[in-house]
Amino acid sequence: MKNKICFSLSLLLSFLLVEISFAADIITREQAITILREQVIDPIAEADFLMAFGPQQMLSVGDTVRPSHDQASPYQSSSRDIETPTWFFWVDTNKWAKFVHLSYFVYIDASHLNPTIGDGIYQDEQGWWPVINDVDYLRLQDERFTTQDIVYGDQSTEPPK
Amino acid sequence: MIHISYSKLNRIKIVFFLSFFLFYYAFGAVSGNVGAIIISGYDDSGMNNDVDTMAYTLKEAFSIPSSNVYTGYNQTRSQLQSAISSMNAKGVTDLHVYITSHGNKIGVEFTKGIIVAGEYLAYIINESTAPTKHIVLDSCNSGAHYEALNNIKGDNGSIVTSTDANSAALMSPFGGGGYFINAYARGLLNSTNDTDQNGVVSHPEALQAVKDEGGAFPNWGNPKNLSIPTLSEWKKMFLTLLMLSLVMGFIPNQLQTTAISNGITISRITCINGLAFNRHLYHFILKWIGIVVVLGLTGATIIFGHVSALDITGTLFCAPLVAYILHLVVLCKNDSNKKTRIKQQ
Repeated sequence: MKNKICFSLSLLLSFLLVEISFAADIITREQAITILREQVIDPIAEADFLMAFGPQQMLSVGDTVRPSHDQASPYQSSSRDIETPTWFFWVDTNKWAKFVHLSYFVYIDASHLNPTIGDGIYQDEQGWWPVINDVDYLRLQDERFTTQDIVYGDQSTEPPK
Repeated sequence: MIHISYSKLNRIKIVFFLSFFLFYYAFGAVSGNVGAIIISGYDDSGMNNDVDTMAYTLKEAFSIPSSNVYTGYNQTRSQLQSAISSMNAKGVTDLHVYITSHGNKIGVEFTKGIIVAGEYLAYIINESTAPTKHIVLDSCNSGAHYEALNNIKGDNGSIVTSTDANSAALMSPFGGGGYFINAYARGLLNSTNDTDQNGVVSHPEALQAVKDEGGAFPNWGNPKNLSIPTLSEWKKMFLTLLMLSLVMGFIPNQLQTTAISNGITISRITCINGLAFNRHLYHFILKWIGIVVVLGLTGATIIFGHVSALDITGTLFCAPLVAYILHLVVLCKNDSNKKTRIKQQ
């Protein structure tokens, strides 16, 4: 009986240790935001009018992200099916502009501890706002200036001179 | 020295004022052939604000009667087609069309998710029977649709796009509206932009003013907040009739004064604060004016499908003044005839 209890406890402990070690391999949202700023936003020339947004929760396997319209000429209109837990960010290069205008859908693999562009970070050039699992994400300009999902950019509504 | 008899002078005055009155109405009827369709293809507060701005601006700049203006937010392609049919039914010959929405090089968005290709948009607008079309398109890459729209503008029409074929249109949140339209509306309302001195700032003249203003981001400003003193058409008519009534009301009074000073009483004119007034005659004429008003409003409803509350109110305010002016005309004619008979006696 005593052996059984010890075995169960050690099994439980092992399970917990595996879970903790697994969790330590997933980057947090704050870490993902830092990666986004350093590797995606900073190199963009027109950062003055740029705003970036990201959902509070990671995307899960099976989720889909697509642009709101099929036609985005001259930009691509690619969609993506999520295959690993992913932090998704939408980088809008010009918060004053109507659509279409240049923006980026950025996917950061949450299990990749040191991602780089092309390896853990995937960046799609887009023209419209994103749709996540068939739900428009920040479709209206007013929403984009008031949302809690802002990860970069100035919320000031003062027009540029 | 040329001598003109007093009664003849009065007739000349009456004819002059009535001619002015009829000319004013005729001018209004001609300008009523101008119409405007002002819509957004998307449910955004900024774009809706642009619709309001352009509705106000086009009405003021081109004297378009409210009955010939269609505005709508978040419109579908079918609603645009219906609006054009409505303008055709009104016999609009000079049509202004303003569309604000999202767009790309392919076309313009009409309600969420529907892109109407530029060529098809031109096809829809070309269903208008107006020989002259002025189209202002405010969307990203709107310049890409310039050629398609330019082919349908007709005689003396114009096409204005807020951007070229490769650029995004700009707007501000929380109802701030489009950058281009704010500057463009200011241009239309600024009479100093009337470079050809024809009394109207045309669309090309307003566009040039925007370009002259310069900069990628024009100065902020909503032209609806400009304190331009203007009156609606009905207010202008009411004031005109009021002035006519006041001026003409003193003429028969002068007739009476002259007759009395000669020892002859020739009329049953009474005076109300110096204005001539015959109660019986006025009520008689007012009754007939009322019948004309009812028939006119009924006919307008049948023909155009609707009559605005402003039109009804304006008619009710102006009808008594028209009755008064007509009663003065009859009074003057009666007095003139009586004076002639007395002379002959």
